Amino acid sequence: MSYTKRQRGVALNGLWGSAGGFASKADVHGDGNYLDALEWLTPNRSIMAQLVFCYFASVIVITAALVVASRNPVYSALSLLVMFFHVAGLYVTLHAEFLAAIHIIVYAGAILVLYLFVVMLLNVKREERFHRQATVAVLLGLVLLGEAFVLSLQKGTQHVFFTPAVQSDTMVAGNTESIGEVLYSAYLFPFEIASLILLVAMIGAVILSKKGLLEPKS
Amino acid sequence: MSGVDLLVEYLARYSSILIFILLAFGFGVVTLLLSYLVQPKYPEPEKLSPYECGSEPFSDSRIPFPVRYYVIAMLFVIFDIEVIFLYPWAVTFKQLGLIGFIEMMIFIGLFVVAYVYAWRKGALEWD
Repeated sequence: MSYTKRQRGVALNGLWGSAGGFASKADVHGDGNYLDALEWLTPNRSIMAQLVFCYFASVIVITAALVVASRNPVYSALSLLVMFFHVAGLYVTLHAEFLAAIHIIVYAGAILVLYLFVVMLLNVKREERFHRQATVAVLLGLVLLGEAFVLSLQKGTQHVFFTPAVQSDTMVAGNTESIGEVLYSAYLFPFEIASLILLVAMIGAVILSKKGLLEPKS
Repeated sequence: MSGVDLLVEYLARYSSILIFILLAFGFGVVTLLLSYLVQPKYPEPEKLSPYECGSEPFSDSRIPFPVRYYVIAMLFVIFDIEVIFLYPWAVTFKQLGLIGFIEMMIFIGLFVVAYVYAWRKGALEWD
């Protein structure tokens, strides 16, 4: 199916929905020759898919625990880096390649640098950062766990890990194009609002960091 | 085809990236392991000290970081996000037409305001 014949309605499901569309792409690369290499590895293909998910999920859980548990804050930041990369890997399994790339660029490339700068700015020593927040942490964790439980029991989401966000053979275009078409038409207003929010963030950053801006001129 | 089969086909297209990652890690591990195995080992206290040559370190190297780096990093994050919005716009530029162009000019215009503000207030200066 050609690019122009694509149905827009599928793309309007949102960014996650637009992440689908590989189904008709699978034949483009030569009748699935790449599958032969995997045949001897995995007699049962669903096991392979679950293994991929289990790898990413377990590494995410372990590194996230290390972020909290590490005594050295720099180790925490490096664990966070590994976690970001594996979250990006999960995005790839959900056919959201653009989001995966963005996740690495923004979170691993920029946000983590901010965290590291805070660590170096405050010169956090090893033991100083342990506060007594166990009660709040347990409560928050229980709430999030319950939320995950409820979500996993809802109809239609049981197999969300192993299936694309949209199973459709009507979309051929790439992930980035789908996002672009939706973002600059259906989600135009949030897009422009994002610009405004970033402007506010920038002014806030300048005011907080430059001394004497808020003091009255004498 | 079930969704699981589709996922496996999809992931199979990433197998070259997987091989690349394995090769990259393998190169590092094999290099370190080989040099560890073949190196001659004659340890001495002087050789094992962090600085075998040069002056002795006289204070802790972990001093507090100047706040200016943080300002630059924050401004970088904001402009990083702006550039990311440009990617899908550039890919779909022809489909969006003139309206898409105007949208993006409004978006970039707000960023020019932010940039001029940061410049005028001296956030880009080092002192």
